[in-house]
Amino acid sequence: MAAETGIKLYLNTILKNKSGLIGLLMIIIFVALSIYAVTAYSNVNNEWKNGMYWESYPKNAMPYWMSYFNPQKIFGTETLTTKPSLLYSSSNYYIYQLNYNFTWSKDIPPTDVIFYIKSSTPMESIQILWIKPDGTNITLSTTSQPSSYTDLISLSSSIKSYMSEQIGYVPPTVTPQLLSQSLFGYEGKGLLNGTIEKGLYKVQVTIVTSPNTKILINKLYLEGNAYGLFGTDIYGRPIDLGILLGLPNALEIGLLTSIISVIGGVIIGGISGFLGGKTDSAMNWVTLVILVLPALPFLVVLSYVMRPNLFLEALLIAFLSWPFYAIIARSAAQSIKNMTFVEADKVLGIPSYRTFFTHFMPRLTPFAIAYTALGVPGAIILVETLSFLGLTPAGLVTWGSILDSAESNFAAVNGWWWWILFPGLMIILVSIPFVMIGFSIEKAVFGGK
Amino acid sequence: MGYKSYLAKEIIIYITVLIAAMSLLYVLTYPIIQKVLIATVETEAAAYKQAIIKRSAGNINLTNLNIKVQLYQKQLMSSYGLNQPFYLKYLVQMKNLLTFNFGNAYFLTSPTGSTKVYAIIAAYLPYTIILFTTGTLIVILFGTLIGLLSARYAGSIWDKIVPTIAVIHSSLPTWWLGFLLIAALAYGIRIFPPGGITSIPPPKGFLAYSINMMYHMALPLLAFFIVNVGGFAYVIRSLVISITKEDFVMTAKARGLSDSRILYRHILRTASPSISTQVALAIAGSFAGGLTTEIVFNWHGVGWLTYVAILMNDLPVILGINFVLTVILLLALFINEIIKGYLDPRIKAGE
Repeated sequence: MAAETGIKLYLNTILKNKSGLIGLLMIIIFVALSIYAVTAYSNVNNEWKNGMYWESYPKNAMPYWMSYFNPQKIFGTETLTTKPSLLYSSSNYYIYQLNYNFTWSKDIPPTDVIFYIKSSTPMESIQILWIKPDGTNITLSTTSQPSSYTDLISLSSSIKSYMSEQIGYVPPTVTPQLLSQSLFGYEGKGLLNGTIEKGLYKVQVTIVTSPNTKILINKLYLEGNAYGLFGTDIYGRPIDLGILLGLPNALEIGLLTSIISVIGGVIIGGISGFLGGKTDSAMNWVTLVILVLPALPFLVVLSYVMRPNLFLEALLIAFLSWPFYAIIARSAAQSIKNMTFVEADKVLGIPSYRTFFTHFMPRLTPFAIAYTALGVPGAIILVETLSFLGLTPAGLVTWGSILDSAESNFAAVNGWWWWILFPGLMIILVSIPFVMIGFSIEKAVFGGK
Repeated sequence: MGYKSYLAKEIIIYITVLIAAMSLLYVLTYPIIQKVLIATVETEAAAYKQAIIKRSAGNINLTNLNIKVQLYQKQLMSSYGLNQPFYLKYLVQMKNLLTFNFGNAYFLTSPTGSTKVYAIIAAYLPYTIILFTTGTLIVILFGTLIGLLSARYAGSIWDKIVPTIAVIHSSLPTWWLGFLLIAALAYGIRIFPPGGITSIPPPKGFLAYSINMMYHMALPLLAFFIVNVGGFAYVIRSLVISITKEDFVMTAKARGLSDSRILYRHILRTASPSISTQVALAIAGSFAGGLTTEIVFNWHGVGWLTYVAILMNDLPVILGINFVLTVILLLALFINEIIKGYLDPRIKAGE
């Protein structure tokens, strides 16, 4: 009964306080988003490190809403599809033809052009006739056996020979952008000077396959340079999806760590302060041993050596953070010990463990709840820090690991700010409600204003 | 029991704590490091064997060769201490640590080429101390100022700012802020260098060198300042507000003293031991906590060194750094304890 009124009391405290209420609402939203992420995108989680899965996504695309500021230069991916027609069939091979028509009216060419063709058996060869609005054309083919994804890099040998035909030389570094420019520029000396032909493009894809092969899916992607809410990374993985997938992991490990370390700390500190004497000295000594360990280097060493999973990592962090709570709980327990009702219990001969559970624990609970909330951000930051150093529990997507790959792929140098900004902002955004709730409980319980 | 025996007791406690903390680190990292070392010995022995075969150009007695290689392997094993029992290695390691004899690094060397762990740490530690002591001092200065202002003008804008920046303090990772600042201020608008301690090659002359170093320190300091100033201001504010409720402040007010006189003469004087404790702990703690900041800013201090040592499985360096950092923290705690014992008459009287 007492516990019920206690919880009601805390809820009331949180709800009455404006910042507590906002914090609670934010947490509810985060939890709902986490549930959505876990149920709707669990398969994406497994594909996160699989480069092929993200092949058709634009690489290093900025957030899509940036296109409202400059629609001629910033745009999303266009996807075309068509009905394949069987041109020729014999017992030796089949020939399919795919015709795509599209109008290009932007100021810059697509960042890449990708042909995605999925057939029931592997294709023998693929040839593309690319007709520009003014009627000039290029014939493109792959040098090796085509895979289901054919991008401009795999067509680069034919585009390079086209370049040298037109301008007399091939630039030293050939990027997808440059290849795309030669497909969209005016034929002649000015092929790569940046102007592009606007109008109706016709693309004819001829595919030779073994007999009785069916074309299951065909798509032509004209890759844009803007995608989704937060853009994409160098592999084409959408940052917004990564952030969503990282949310349940961050919340889980943050809450788990904080709960374990606060409960551990409060029990150890509470007992230590309650019993006093030799036990107190011994427990104090243990607390001090853990407290003086250089937390971050120690944690990095342990994570590197043990390669923990999520639960073990939470335990490791909790193992290093409980002393802070133990120290506070101990002094709280010492001050409770001097109160008259504890004396009264002693006189009445009530066993000390009962005094502990009836008088100490209920008084330590508000303290524990406040510090659990306040401890979550610290735990989340530690986990993301370890991830940032490349120590992510296997198979998990975390914001730290997104930032780690941003750093190792030189996002700062290349100006891919969306890749750095949004995952970090999420760390702050998730921390804020817990700090707000913690502060409001602390204020209500320990006085203040 | 007087002040002296109190001190002796404290010293014993701190030394045992130090030994326990180091033992914990040693025991937890021991198995994996052992595996790494055995693998290293095996690859080195294999390389040795290949070298002999190459040199002899085919005409060699195989038995002789195998004996030679085994001998070499044994030598390596003993040089890495792999042939001794665990407890012996542990005891030797603890004795060495406590006498500040960290031994030789397995793979790392100091910039001057020494493999002594002592020399390696000594080469990198000053840079950490320069960066984080400066940072902590700036944070303390401004944190105290903001904290005092918010406590003095309760209800004003200052008072509202402090909890907000305290929230930032507990939710913003320094390394991320650093990363963002590098993207914006070092590569976006190029006004600060993206990392490193000095330009390459470093400028000649002490003055030019210091100025160049300060220029490189600007961004890490900015990140450190933004993240930490709120937390410190919050501590000062709570401290000052709690002292304001004490009786002697009421008395001073009743005597009609001015607010600023009460604040500086009465409240701040009472709060200063607590503030100095905070300062000592903040500086000692910042050395260990700066690991990621140093990595992001490519600042080659002990944090960066720790990370490299971990990646290379260089156990003597890892143990050495952790030992030094723990000793620094314990010293800070100990000095704090002495001051507290000196100020607290109950401890002095030996109660």
